[in-house]
Amino acid sequence: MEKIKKNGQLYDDTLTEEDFSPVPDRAAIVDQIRPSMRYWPEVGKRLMKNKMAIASLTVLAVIVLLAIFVPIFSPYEYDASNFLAAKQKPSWAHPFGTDKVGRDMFTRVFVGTRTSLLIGVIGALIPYIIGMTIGAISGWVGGTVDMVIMRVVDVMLCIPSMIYMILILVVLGGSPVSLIVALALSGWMGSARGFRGRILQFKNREFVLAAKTLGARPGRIIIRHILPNILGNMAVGLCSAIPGAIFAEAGMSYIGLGISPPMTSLGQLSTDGVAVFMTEFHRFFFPSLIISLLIFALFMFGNCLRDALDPKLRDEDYMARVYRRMRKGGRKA
Amino acid sequence: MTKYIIKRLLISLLTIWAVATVCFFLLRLLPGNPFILQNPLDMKNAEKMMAYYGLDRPLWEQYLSYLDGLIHLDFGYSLTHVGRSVNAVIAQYFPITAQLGVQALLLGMPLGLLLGILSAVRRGGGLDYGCQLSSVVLTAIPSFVLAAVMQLIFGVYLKWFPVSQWLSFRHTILPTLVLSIGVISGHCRSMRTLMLEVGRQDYLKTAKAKGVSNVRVVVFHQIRNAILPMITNMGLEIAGMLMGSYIIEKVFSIPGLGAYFVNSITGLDYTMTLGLVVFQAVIVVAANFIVDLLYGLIDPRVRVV
Amino acid sequence: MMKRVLSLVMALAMIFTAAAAMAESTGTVEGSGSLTFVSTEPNTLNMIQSASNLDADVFYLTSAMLYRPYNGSSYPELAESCVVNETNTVYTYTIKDAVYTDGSKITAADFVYYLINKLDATSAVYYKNGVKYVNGECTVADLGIYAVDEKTFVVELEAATADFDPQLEIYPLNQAFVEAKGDALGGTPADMMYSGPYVLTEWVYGSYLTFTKNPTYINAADSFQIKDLKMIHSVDESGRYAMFAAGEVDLMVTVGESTVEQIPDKCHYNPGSAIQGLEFNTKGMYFDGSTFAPRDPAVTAVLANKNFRMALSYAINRDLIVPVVNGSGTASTRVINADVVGNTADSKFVDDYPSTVIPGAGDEALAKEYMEKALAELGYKSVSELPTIKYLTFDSNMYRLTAEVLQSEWKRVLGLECIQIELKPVSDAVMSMVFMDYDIYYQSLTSTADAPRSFLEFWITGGSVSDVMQAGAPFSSIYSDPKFDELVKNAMYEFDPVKRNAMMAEAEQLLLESYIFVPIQWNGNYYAVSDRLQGYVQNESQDGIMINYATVTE
Repeated sequence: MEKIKKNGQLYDDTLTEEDFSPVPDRAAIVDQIRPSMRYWPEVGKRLMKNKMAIASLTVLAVIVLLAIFVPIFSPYEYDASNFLAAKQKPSWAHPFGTDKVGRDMFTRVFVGTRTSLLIGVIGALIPYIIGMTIGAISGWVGGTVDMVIMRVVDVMLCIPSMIYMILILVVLGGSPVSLIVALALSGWMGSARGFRGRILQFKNREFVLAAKTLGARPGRIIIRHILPNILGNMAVGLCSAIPGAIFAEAGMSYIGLGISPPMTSLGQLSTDGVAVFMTEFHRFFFPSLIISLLIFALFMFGNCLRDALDPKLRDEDYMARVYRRMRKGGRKA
Repeated sequence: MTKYIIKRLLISLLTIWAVATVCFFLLRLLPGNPFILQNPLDMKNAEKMMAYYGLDRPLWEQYLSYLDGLIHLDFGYSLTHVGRSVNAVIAQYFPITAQLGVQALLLGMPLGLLLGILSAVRRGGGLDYGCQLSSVVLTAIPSFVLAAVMQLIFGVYLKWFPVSQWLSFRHTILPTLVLSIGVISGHCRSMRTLMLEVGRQDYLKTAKAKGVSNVRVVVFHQIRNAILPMITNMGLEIAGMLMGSYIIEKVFSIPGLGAYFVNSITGLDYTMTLGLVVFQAVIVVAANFIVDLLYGLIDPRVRVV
Repeated sequence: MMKRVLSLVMALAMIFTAAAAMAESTGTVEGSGSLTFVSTEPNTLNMIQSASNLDADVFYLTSAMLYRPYNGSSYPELAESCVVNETNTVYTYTIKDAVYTDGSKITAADFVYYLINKLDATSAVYYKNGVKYVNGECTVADLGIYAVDEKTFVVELEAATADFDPQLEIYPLNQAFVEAKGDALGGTPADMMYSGPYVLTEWVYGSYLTFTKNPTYINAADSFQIKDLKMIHSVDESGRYAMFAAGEVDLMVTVGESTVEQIPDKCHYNPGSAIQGLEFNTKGMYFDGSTFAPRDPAVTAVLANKNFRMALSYAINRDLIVPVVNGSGTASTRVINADVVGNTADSKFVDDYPSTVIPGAGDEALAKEYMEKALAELGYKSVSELPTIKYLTFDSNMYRLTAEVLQSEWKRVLGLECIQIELKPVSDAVMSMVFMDYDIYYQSLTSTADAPRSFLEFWITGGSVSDVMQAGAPFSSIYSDPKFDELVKNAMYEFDPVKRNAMMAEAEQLLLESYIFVPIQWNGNYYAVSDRLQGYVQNESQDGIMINYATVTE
């Protein structure tokens, strides 16, 4: 047997019978180890317990449902002008009032919400996935590949996204698809950088090395071992990337490079509203309110999701519950 | 260390060159030409102007002469504003944009960090909820909406501050506030997250176990370690603030680089756009460079790289 | 002869009005008071390269002029006299003694230098060998513009031209100074010469320009009495309004609808700064950057069908739509600007020669009828079979809204679902239009020359609008009518103004009947003046901040 030298003393690293003792009360110990639960159901359970999460989810659901159903059931067409009903203040017939040419703002706002949600979700997901893939390759492979990718990212980050956006919009025209392509082209660099950092952080951790030793392929290691650890972070990233994409579209509308008419978006409606907010306040207020609510709910939900997804937080909370129960039990006894 | 600095400098120069080159050719891909815009019905005039600016020469020749100017730090003259040199525009607009950005950062960063720290220390308390909620609410409102509301309240109704223009310090207050709201809530949120993350680390538990006072733990261990990752982003952030915000500059009629830049892109002013992009690249690269060096000084672990 | 009598009468009238205005002001060369106003900053103050009326607004203040435009007409400033020969082809100008602020004298050569440098395809047609010179076929020595001595210069015309306006609104420009400054000319206050009522003292790009009165200006004692000027550059409507409401500014050269709604009694309206309407690409070709390529023949066939175009025009109720969509617009059924002077000095051309070709209110029943005819001619059973037709327009609020409303009206009245709006950034849209890569284009036409001909000239064969490619190719001219060309050309040599206008009206009628260009509106302009500022005038077809006889009460 090999002898190990520690603190100047020789130890025998073989275990003998004396090193082990029987567990006195098996049940008590097992209870303190978190009961094994499947990951996702628990995330869901935790999310449902969070009042903030429920509230933001409700707001999101209401907005999404309105965006789906208002344009279908509205008696007004979102693009049909009616000069006799121009510039009306909110009323029962027109809950959000009408615009300059008599189009029903209620219908328009929710048609715009559709566009914004579509662009927001897809426009956030695609650059995120592209960035993740490139970041993962860069971080995992390292060396020259990493160097080159990161320099490309540096250069692309230095070129203002407006140039890409204008180029794409000019080439493909002002449709949701081209806006998404433009967002993807100008937005992947940030997430690539972030993801690379995360990969580097976990690349040399013990569990990754263990998986590597067992012969797992890089793809599997990243997806099965590293990803769950950063899922919380990613969820928050994604939840704030959606508002980012919605804002980007609104910003493009502000410059005058938005979506093609007669289609509209929340960004376009609220930028139009800003120009007349002194005289037609309702045209400013409602689109701004919906866009703010939407983004607020997304942010809030992202925060809650992170809390629910974070395995460390989960253990901590569980242990806190156990301690509390033990203390209560202690007082009873 | 010297070798590292030299290597970084070389990479920085290479980055700037790459930005200039990519941007030079990207801009030429945009359809249209700047002179047709001014007078759409006069093709002859457009041709004359193209010749005046040498834009009718082969592209590579223009590229070489552009690089030549770049080496001598001469960005050339604007195409749409005849007689206006890019250098003069930077000299005039940059201080204004920089002042706005620096003011917003000076106000926003300490306040954001402080609120973040306090929220983390009193996690779950009233301040924490208040900060979280208000930061999310304020980020959820588009900045042009926020700016318009602030103008209406503080400028038109209360008449505390001027509504727009950039003439005296009082004129700078509203835009600084609007700009710093993003900074405050951003820093507050990420500082809080980082503080909590650090709070779970073993070395903190060790310090507590060793009987170090709570204040000492927070100040010397938790804050110090939490603030490190924030420094990495600071380079880009500062550079971003120095380049200005198009929307805020437009709403408040501030003659800043952000607004000028957008106008020069949409006006197809190649030389102006290019000059401003390269200028921005220099700032970003320089900021990153300095941050990296600083990081090495603060965090000894990084210095090995 | 008639012409000379007329111009003499006009000149006399001018002197009287100027004298009347002068009598009111007890002026000094120093002036007093200050005026802050909101406008858009100039693009450049390089006189040669300047192409914008924003620049001209500033030159109006900083430079002396041969004749100074004011309130719809003009009066002589540096012009001492203008003598015309018997055949109406040679104009000899004598100038007054005047100096730049650096003390150097203004010479006849300075006017000649300016005039020659500003020659372009449109203005060159008047001058002897002008077109040749612009095309590089002759030298400056052959040109009919030259200085005789320090005080005299001569302008020779190619032929006696009726609508050549001898009251040249031009500035003196010193060649030596221009050449010394090179590329830097007009970039900063130091890179300019001043001879006008004001000197530019500061120009903060994108923010403001300040001016102070020039005591050496020739009419310093009896005009431009406000001492200091500040021109604030602002593009944000609510910010502008707030400044005006707070009393920080006394004049806004352009205001938007929301401001007009809030302070209607302070706002004044000028119609007709631009003619806007639909242009149809009836030619089956477009330029792909190197060569002409065919476009979709089905679309071309539809656009080339006159009944189809008439149906689109009749479906639009301009009288109803325009005031709603564009607060500063006026419904228009004409191709000549509302401002253009008619047979007498205070009548308008469009009123003297009314046109009923295009009814302002449209006619839904007729529109449907024309659409039926068009479908029958084209061989379609219903409107749903029509190919997709793209409506190209700028990516800005008013243009977008106009497009949306027209699209919605065509859908409502004619059931058209095939019109697709193509929104492009201005640069790109203009480029597509120039390359004829559009189906329907929302055209906006302006001309600073205040004559019917300047608007009709756009449409002659090879004109700058009808043949925007200027390729001379027969297929690139969307409108070409020999009768129209002849009328416009002959009108140039018709010295009787009434007869000339009648010819113009006839030509306009032909153009309107072709339905190649369907007018929608005159895009006018609102400006706001505070109670403090008295005597300010503004005219959309003339450039300049016309504070000539304005006063500011403290």
